[in-house]
Formats: sequence, structure tokens, C-alpha cells
Amino acid sequence: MGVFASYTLRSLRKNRTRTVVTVIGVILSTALLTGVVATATSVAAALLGRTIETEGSWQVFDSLQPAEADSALGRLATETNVATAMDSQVAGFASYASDADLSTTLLAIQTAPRVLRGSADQARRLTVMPTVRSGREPEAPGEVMLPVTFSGVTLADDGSGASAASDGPIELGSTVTLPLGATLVDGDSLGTPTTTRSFTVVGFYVPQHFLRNDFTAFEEAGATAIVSPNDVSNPVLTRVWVSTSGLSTRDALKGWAAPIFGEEDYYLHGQLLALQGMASDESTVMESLSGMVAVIGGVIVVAAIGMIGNSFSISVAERTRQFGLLSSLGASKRQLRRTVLLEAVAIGVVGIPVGLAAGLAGVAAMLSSSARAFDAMFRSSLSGTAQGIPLVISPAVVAGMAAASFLVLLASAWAPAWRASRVSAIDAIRQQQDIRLSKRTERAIEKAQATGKAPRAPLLERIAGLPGLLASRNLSRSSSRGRTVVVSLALSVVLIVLSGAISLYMGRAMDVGSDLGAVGRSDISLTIYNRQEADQGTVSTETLSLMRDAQAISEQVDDLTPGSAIVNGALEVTLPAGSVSADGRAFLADYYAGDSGAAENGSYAGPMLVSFVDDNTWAELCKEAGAGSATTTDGTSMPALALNVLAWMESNSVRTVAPYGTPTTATVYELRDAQSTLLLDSGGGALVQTWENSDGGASGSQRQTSIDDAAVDSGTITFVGTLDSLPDQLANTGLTSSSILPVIMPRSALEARPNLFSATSIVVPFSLAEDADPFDAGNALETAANATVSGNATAYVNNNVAQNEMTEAIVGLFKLLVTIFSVVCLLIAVANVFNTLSTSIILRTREFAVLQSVGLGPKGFRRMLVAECASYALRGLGIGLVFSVGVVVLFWAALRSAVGVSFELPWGYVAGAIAGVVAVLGLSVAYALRRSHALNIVEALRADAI
Amino acid sequence: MDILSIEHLTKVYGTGPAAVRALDDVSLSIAAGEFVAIVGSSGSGKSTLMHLMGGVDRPTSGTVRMNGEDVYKRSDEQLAVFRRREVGLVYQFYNLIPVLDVEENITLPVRMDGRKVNEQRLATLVSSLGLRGFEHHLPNQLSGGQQQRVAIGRALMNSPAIVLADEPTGNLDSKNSAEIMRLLRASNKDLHQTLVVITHDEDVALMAQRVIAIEDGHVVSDERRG
Repeated sequence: MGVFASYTLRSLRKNRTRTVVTVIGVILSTALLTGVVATATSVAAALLGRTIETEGSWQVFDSLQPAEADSALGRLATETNVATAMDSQVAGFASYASDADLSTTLLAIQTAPRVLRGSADQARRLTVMPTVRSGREPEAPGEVMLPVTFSGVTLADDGSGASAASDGPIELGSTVTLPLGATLVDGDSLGTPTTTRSFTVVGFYVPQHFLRNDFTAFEEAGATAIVSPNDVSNPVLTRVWVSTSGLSTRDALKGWAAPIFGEEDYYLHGQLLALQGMASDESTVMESLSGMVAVIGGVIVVAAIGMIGNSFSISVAERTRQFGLLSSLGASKRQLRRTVLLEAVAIGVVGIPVGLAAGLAGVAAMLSSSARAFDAMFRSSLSGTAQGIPLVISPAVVAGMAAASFLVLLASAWAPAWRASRVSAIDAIRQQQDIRLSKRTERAIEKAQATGKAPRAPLLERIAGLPGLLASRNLSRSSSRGRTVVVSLALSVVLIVLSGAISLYMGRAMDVGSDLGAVGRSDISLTIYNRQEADQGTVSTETLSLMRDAQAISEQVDDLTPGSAIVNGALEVTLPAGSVSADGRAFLADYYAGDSGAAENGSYAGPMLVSFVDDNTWAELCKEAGAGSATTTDGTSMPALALNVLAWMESNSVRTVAPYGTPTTATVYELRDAQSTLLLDSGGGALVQTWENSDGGASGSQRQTSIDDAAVDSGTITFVGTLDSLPDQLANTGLTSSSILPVIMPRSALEARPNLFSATSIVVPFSLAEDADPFDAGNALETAANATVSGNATAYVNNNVAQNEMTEAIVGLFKLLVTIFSVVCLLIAVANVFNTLSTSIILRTREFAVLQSVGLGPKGFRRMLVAECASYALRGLGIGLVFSVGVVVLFWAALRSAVGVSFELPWGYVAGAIAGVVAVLGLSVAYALRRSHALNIVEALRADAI
Repeated sequence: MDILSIEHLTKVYGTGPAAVRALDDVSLSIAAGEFVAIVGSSGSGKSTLMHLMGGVDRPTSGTVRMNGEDVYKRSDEQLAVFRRREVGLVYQFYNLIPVLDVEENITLPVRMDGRKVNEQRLATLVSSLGLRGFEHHLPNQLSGGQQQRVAIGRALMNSPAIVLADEPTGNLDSKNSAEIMRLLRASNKDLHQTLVVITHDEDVALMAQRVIAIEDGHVVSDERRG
């Protein structure tokens, strides 16, 4: 070991406290940097996994015209950059008209996936494959799988020349006839088919969302028939999904794709590419993720350089005379510089590996302790045991972090090292250190020299006398170091207050959420929708019959106790004058842009929402409303309770309105056309407005007729009472959060006159058993529901408990991250303050000795140190609190647009921040005093003390 | 009348085999208005003696009495008060407070005492020290001789019972040395300021009325002259 190396190590050992504090600082900053990056890479990996799960792993997609298909497919089969490729041939498009009014009327016919490269499993994972509801996928020629919405539907030839047709209601084993070879002309009108073929239905699948990039999704067609692979001889289009390997930039990928698919004539999976590090400029997810990492990382690097640099400049300043002496003995500038850099290396060798390990361990702990929150954010299915996301970081990134931390360390030590090398031999011999006071103090002294008048007493002197003057001058001497302390303190204050604000507002936002309807909601609810397209009577009767399914589902889950089921629907009514209040008219006018259906006199024509309850609930609600004896109905006059409350959502607040005046009766109509609606004409009479579609719903025209012409049937409803708030029994219906007048009726009314109502859903509230797991119970209910419902019915489980738990988990995670960040920043600040203060004591050893030898007593000495620290504390707190308020205001303003919360400072955290700053400085003063107490005046005064 | 009396003063630094007996059973006394030079070679114990006289260090055994009162019976706080009121210290390397200007350095002991500065005394002192016009300069803006004059000003400002100077000219050229000694002698002569100067400069020692020689922690001679 060279003489300089051993000199370095010895000086590190001699200043053990500072060395330890510096090593801790290096550990903290390395750990924080590693933690942020590891979190980001883990989150990015989880996002990538989720994207592949929900959107497939394809990178390039194209819909090839027959002319270009052969060459492209040929190249895909041989190109080295292709990892996995799959295609599906489109045999053509068909129109279909049915007895049920399916919303869109174009059917695409395509083959099941054909593997071009890679394994079948990999190929199918390129996109999201539909789930088979019943039957199986087509395997042999002449087999077809249809969307589940086609089940039970009869397809009749609509005369378009390219029409799909069936031999009766479609079920497994039915035969459908499909036209082949018909293309889409100009994107929407159908061409002429070259042939027609018969297919046997072998399965039904659940279509995915049309916006997703899944296998059956077509921009042009609403439904897709899937035939077996290789069952198409003359495809009108060939759809290709490809994933590549060995291409690392978006431009490289584009350059690769262009000759195969044509310049810019293909789709890129932007979301996936962004997560794979091939982001375009517009990508927001990765941009915000890497942006966040950059901002936080930048803050950490700046804080670390400040802190470590501070420590090194102290170390150098302390040894100025030693460096001068070494220099006078012949040490070169380079040797002196290397001495300091060697010190940095020694500290890094200890600090960086520990920091890396601590950072990775911290992230792993955070990921596992917040597994539920990560599940909620990154997984599409949830279970009782939280899985969380794994820690994902490549060794190369870890090595990179180590290198980055090392560079930060060297950068921090560089300026002090440079200063050390510039110490001249003269400085070593001169006893007097060069004093540089702040500009302001220098100006004050220059002025005093010019005028001969003593400089104005600084504030601290006026408060604390001579010790105050000494403190004030010392502060001015080390103003740059003082700034570090003040900035560190201010930053910690801001972070503490901000994390308080996050807790406060997140908590309040959740409270507001529950105010708007979560109150009284059951733990879990099941909704079964009837999506049947038929006349009102048929649909309502079918919906009532779904009650059996609801019953069956309820019996399958042990941990859930069902409440009474509610049937929801709508009706078209006219109400006489006085029924709608002025508030109600304003509300309706606001929602329907003036076309409210309500007249000045309070009469109304239009839709209403209705919840049908069982007889017991009806009796309870009548009692609650103060209505006389509960009348059930035979259908001639039906009783109803007006629910006189609606939520009026304005831009950033929600208030309730009472829409009813004094409702007495209502006339309910069954209209011939299910899509038509009632409204009032200018004279106050009721009319029926129908909407006639053309071009598949793209345009249409309105027609108004009299009720007599349009109504098929009618009945009378008598209001027996009014409820002013949503009863708990109906909490899951969302009856009051729509913009339509709500009523409650006994189920017997629906049973007696089903054709007068459009009843489309059933809601069953469940309460969860004491110790049951909400996730498992919810999943069990969902499984039972999916196994039970069939045909046009679909079931949804609304897991309020799980949702609350997940929201809480996410908020908790957010708070945890903010807390970790602020605690670490606070620790860095503590290290900074501690180093600066203890060093400013050590550097002034001689001065302290002189002051003591000329009579400064322990009290005055204490007062001087306290005054110095108090100055740091007050400045740090002042600046910190001012910025905190600003940051909290910004945070509040950002949040206010989402939830209406009033402004408030997190006073507890403000108090905590003040207490924290006082505690930090108190500890530093205590340490400084202990150090100076041990000071031997005689030793310090000895001239040769180096 | 003896202003300072030292009895059986012993100071040991360190413990065990490494212990150094810097002063060994020294007894002497100094009368008011005396100008005493303490001479001795390097390591003889003269600086230790000075620090013990000035209430800066605490003795291992023995007593130091100032005006009959045992200095080291005082608490740290009282000792600090003693140093600022009764003692004026002048060091070889000036030891001014670098952040305070000339006037502030000179008035330091008075202001530490929380008393008001006697402006007239300050003005007299500044001009007699030849520091007029430099009142608001910082120490690093001054020459060595000027800095030492400031240190003397600080020692005299409070009219202490005794001024202790440790090699006050050791860091100065002959012209400045002569000037510093002239000022110290003047304070002794004109103001009857009791003055103890530690030196190994023959010329300085010759100015004193009494020369005490110390060797290896013992007083080896104590001569009064004319």
C-alpha cells in the first residue's frame, strides 16, 4: 500500500463519525436509486405481462390483400427476425338479418389461427383468443364457431346477395349457410360473393371487446364466424400477427417491416412496444414511468451529490493544512487529488454494495407487503391470496446502478479533490485561515471600513447578544454549506407535508366515494342482465324467469347470504300536471338540453326507471313512506312509491334534488317500436317519437306520431307514497344516480302486466360471512354465475368489499412509497445537517479554544451553537413550509378536478415536520456540544497542532 | 502586594508510562504592577505555567490564587468569567477571531461580560495601538504586527489583573517586535499593568524587572533586577 493510500485510510479512521455518516449517506442514496429503478423495472415487467395477457404479444399486425399475401407469408416463413408468426384467412363478409335485432349486421368469416413460425401455443398467444362458451373450436373443414349472441337466433336470407342464413334457431349441430368471397367495397358496402357453403355449428364463443386487438375483432364487422384452419381457398384478406426478435428500436422494426408489408402499411402494437423499450414519442405510459424515474432519480442524485460532496469538502477543509504540508514536502497535485478520490473509492467499496442490496431487499419487501395493491393494478383476475408482482431487474441494470452510484460518488468528491490539490504550501505554514464571508456581510464590513461606523448589529446579535453575533458571522462564513443544510431541511419538510397531504386527500377522496352511494351497499352483489332482443312482454317475462337462475347461483356459494332480489327496468309514462317539481324540471332540462319532457305545469311524458321488489320489501317500504295499507295488485291499477331523490352531478360537486311535485297517478304505455319514446309537444300533449335507422344505425330520421297510433297497450299506476332517500334495500340498484325519474313498485305488478315494462336485469345483494375471504367468495359467485346463466343472460359480480380493499391497498401503497421516499430524504438531510454542524465545530476548534481562553463561558458557548442551529432550523422550516403549502395547493388543485374536496393542510404532518426539524437540530447541537466539551483548550491552542 | 500566588503547582499530562510531568511542584508569586519574564527552553513547562496562571487549564495538584482567591475552586462558568475579567492573554500566533473585525475583537471580553463598551477607553486604546482607521478590518486584512496589536488591545481592554503573553514577538520581525514590546512595557509603566511575558528572546527578557527561569518543570532561578 502506498503512503497516500495508508494516509487516506488513516484519516478515514480518525474521523470515524463522519466516515460512518458518509457511508450511510452513500448506502441511502444507492439504495434509493436502486429501489426506484427496481420498482420501475418490476412495474414495467408487470405491465408488459398484463399487456401480453390482455392484448397479445404481437408487435406487427397487417391485413394483407390477396395480391401481397403470398410474398409476405413467404418472407415471414424465412425471415430470421421473426420469432412467432400466425395468420388467419378471411373468407369474406356476410350480411345477416335475424328475428332478433342484433345491433350490427356484418359478419366476418375467418379461419382459426394458422401457425407460421413458433409453437402453436406461442402463436395463439400473439393475440387474445376467444373463450369457447359451449362446444369446441372448428377443426375439420365445414365446421364453424359463432359468437354466443347467435345462440338460439334464426338467420334468414335478407336478400342482400351476400346473406348468412340458418335452418332454424342456431344451436350446436345446426347448419348455417355462409357466402364466401364477398369483399367490402369502400369499407362498408358489401360486394358479391363467389360462392356459398354450408357449415356445421360446432361451438359458441364469448366475443371480446371490439376495441381490443383480439383475434375476432374487426373494424368493419360486428361479429365473426370462425372456420377451421386451411378451410379457405381464396381468401379476400389474410390477417397476420408477428412478433420479432433481434430488433431493438422502433425504427429498426419499421425498417424491417416496410419491405414485407409495405411502407407504413401495417399496424404496430404501440402499447407493447413502449413497454419493450421501443417507445414512440407519443407513448405516454412508458414516458410517464421513465419520466417519473428520471425526476425522482434526479432528485436523489442531486441530494446525494450535495450530501456526499458536502462531506468531502468538509474532509478536505479540515485537512487544508495537512495538504499544504504534504504539498510542501513534494506531493504533486495529482497525488493530493488521488488521496481524496481514494477516500471516495474506499467509501464506495463499502457503501455501494450494501446500498444495492438494501435497495433490492427494500423493493422486494415493498412488493410483497403491497401485493394486493399490485394485484389490483396489474392483474386481470384476483384471488384471496394476493400474488403481487415479482421483483424484476436484470444483472446488467444492477451493474449499471452500481456504476451510476460510483459515478455520483466520484462526481461528489471531484470538486473537493480539486480544491485539495490546489492547497499551497503557504497555507500550511500560515496559521490564519482565509476567511470568506458571505457577500452581504462583506458589503456590511466594507461599508463600515468606508464610514468608520460599526456595522449594523445582525438580528441574531440583537436576540442573543455576543454569542448571537458570533453565530451570525459563522453562518455567513459557511454560507454555501449552510445552504445545503437549509435546502435539505426544507426538502424534508416539503416531503413530510406532501405525504401528509396525500394521506389526507386520498382518505377524503375515498370518503366522498362512499358518500355517493357506497353507504348501505351490500358486501357483494350479483346482477344478471337479460340481453334478449324481443318485445317488452317477452323480455320482461324472460327476466322474471331469470329469478330461478339467481336463486340457483345464490345456493352455490356458502359464504354469501342473499338479500331479496330486485328486478330493474324502465317504462314509458305520462304524468299529469303537478307531478314534477320546479327543481325536477331544471334537472331534466339540464340533462336533456332543454328537451326535458316536463312542462311548466309539472306534467311529464317520457321514460321512468323502476325497481320491482318482493312483497315483504314492498310492505316495509310502504310503511317507511307512511303509505296506507300496502296494496298489491291485480294489474288494473298498480301501486307505486315515488323515489323523490336524484343525484345532480355538476362539474366538481354532487348534490341531490327532489324531482317530484305531488305525483298522483301515471299512465304507462307499451309502444309498438321498442326504440321509440314519449315526449310532450309544444302544447303539452304527449306524443311518441320514433327513430328510424338507416345505414346500420349510422344515420336516421325522427318521426313523431300520436300515442294512439303508437301504443299497443296501457295501464294506470297510482302513487301511494313518496320516499325521500334511497332505501337500503335498493342500495345496489343505482336507481338514484341516473338522470331518469325513479319509482319503486311491487313485483306482482310486473308479473301481472309484463308487457307494460321493459324489465332487463335482476340484482341480488349478498352479505359476506364474518370470516370469509371477499376475493374467494366473489370469485366463487362469479364462477357459479357463469356456469348457471346461459343464452342471452350475462352475469356480473360487483365485489364492493374487494373493491374497497383494493382501493385501500393502492392508496396504502402510494402512501408507503411517499413515506419511504420522504423518510430516506429526511435521513439524507439528517446526515447533511449532522456533517455540516459537527464539522463546523471541528473546523473552528482553535477559535473555540481562543474564545474560551478569553472568557467565553459554557453558557455563552451553548447559546452561540443554539443560535447557529436555530438559524438553520428557522430558515429550513420557513422555506420548507412555504413550499409545502404551494405543493399541497397544487396537489389539491390536481385532485379537485376528480373529487370535490375542500382545501386543508395536513396539520398533524406540519407539526410532525416542525418537530422533526427541531429534533434533528437538537441532536446535532447535542453532538456538537459533546464534541466541544471534550475539547482541550490547551491542545487546541498549541500552535503546532495540525 | 502579591496579586498572584502559586503553591506546589503540578501538572501531569497523560497517564501511566506515557505521563509527562510538565510542571513539578512550582511555587512562586507575582506582585501587582510587576513585569515578569518567564524563560526556558522548548518543553520546559513555561507555556503550561502560563495557562495555569490564566485559568485556561486545570492543575493536577497545587493552587493558583488571584488576589488571595483560589482560581480553580471555581466552576467552568465562573472560570470563564475569571478569564474574561482578570486575565488578558496574548499569544504568539495572535489567535484573533477571524470573523470579527478589529473593534469587535478588541471589545470581545467586555461584550462577553454583557457590559457596555467604554467608547472612550476603546478610542484611546485603538489610537495608542496605532490601529486608527483599521477599526473595521478583518484580521486577515492586517499584517502580523497589526494583528498582534489587536491581540494586545483585546488583552488590555478589560483592565485585567494580569496580562499573560506567550512569546508575543515570536512570530514577528525585529521592528514589529520592538513595537509590541514598547506597547506592553508602556502598559506596565503607565497603567501599572501586571505583566507576565513568556519568551526565549534575551532582549525581551532583559526588559523585565524579574526573570524566572524554568527547566524540566522546575523553577531554576528567579532574579529581580534593578
